[in-house]
Amino acid sequence: MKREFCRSEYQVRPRKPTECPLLWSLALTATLSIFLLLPSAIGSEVNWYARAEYPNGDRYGVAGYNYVYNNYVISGYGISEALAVYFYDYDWFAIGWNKDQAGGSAHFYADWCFNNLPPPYLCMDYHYVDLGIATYGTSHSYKVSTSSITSKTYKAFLDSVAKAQATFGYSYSKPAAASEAHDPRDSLTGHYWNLMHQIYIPQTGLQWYYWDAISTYADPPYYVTVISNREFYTGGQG
Amino acid sequence: MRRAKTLPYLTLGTAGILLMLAMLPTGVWQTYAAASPMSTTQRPYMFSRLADPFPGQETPLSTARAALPFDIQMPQVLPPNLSLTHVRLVKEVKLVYLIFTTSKLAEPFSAEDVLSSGGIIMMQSWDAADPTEFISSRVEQSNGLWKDVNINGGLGVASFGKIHWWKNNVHYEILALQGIEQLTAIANSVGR
Repeated sequence: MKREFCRSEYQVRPRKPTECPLLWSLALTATLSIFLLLPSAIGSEVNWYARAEYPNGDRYGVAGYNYVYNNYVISGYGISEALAVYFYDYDWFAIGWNKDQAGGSAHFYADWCFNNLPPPYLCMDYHYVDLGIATYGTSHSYKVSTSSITSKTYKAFLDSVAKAQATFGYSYSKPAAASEAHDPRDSLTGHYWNLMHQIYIPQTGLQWYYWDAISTYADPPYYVTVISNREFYTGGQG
Repeated sequence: MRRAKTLPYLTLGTAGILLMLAMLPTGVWQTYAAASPMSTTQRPYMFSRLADPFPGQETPLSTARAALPFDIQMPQVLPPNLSLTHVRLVKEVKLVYLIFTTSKLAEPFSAEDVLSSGGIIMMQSWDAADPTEFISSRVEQSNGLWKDVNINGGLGVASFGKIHWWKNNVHYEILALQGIEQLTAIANSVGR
C-alpha cells in the first residue's frame, strides 16, 4: 500500500489525533496561537509616546527646535522625534528625525496621513519622505505651517527649508511635539525648545508666538519633564 | 506505545505556544501589527489620536445648533441600529461632531471606540474657503485611493473610511469603516 505522510489512499474516515500526532500538534499550536495572540496584536498599544501639545486646536502651525540624540534602539522600526500638527479628523503632518537600527544613523523625515482609521486599517493613505542623514549631537529647527487661514496646504520645513507639503481638509490644526518608540526597551531621550504656534489675529493676520500653555502625555516607562511652556525633555528606558 | 510516540509532538506544540506567550511583552507582535498594512519601507503611523478621549464638549443638539452659524443637518440613511448618541461641539472652530452608535458610550470614549464598534462620526464645520485645491490634490496624488464625488451638488472626495464634501460654506466629513458606496449613500441622505 502506498502510504503518504499521514495519509492513506484508503483512509477516508476522520483521523484521530493519535493517528497523525505531528499534524494535530501543529494545528493545535496554530489555533491556540491565533486566539492568544490576535487580541494582543490588534487591541493593544503599538506605539509608546512621550509628547507635549499646545492645548488649542485652532492654530495654523507649529515650530521649534530639537536635539538629535543617539538613543538606544532595539527594534526595526525604532524611535522618532518630531514636531507635528494634527487635525480634527485625525489626519496629521509631522517632520523630525528617526532612528531605525541599533548603531545605525538617524534620518530626517516628514510623514503625513490622510485617512487615519482604527486597527487593523491604521493609516489608509500614508506618506513618508526620507530627508537624509541627521547627525547625532546637532540641533535643528522644524516648522509645519500654512500660509493663510483659508489655505489647507501645509508645508514642513527643516532648518527653514521647505521639504514637503500636503493639503488637508482643514486649515486649522493642533500643534504638538513628540518622541515615539515602538518597543519600550528603546531610549527616548529628547529635548524640544522654543516651541511656537501660529495664531490668527484679525488686526495683523497670522503671527508666531511661543507656547503659553502646554499639556503633556507619556506612556510608561517614558516620561516628560516640563521646563517651561515652550520647552520640555522626554526620557525613559533604554 | 502509540501514546509514547505522540508525546514528543505534543511537547513540541506546547513549547511553541509557551515561546509565543513569552514574546508577548516584547512588543514584537504589536510592532508587526502596526506595520502590516503598510509597505516595509514606511514607518508605522505616528500621530494617531484615535485612541485619545474624544475631542469637543458634550452638548445637547439644540445648544450646538444655537452656537453654530449654520444649520446642523442629519443623515436620513444609516446602517441598522445606529442612532445619534453624542454631540460634541468645538466652538472655537465652529465644528460639531455627530456620533452615531448602537447605544450611548461611557465616558471617556475615543474615536477608535466609535469606529471599531461599527459607529459613525459625522463632522460639520463652517468653511467658506474654496475646497477645489484640496479635492484636486487628493484625487491626483492618491493613486486611485480617493474618488471625487458630487453630494447633492456639493463637491467632495471619498475613500474607504472617509468622505469629505462641501456645500453652502459647510464642510461635511464622515468617518466610518464603510466603503465609498455606503459612505456616499449616507452623505446623499444628509439634510433631505
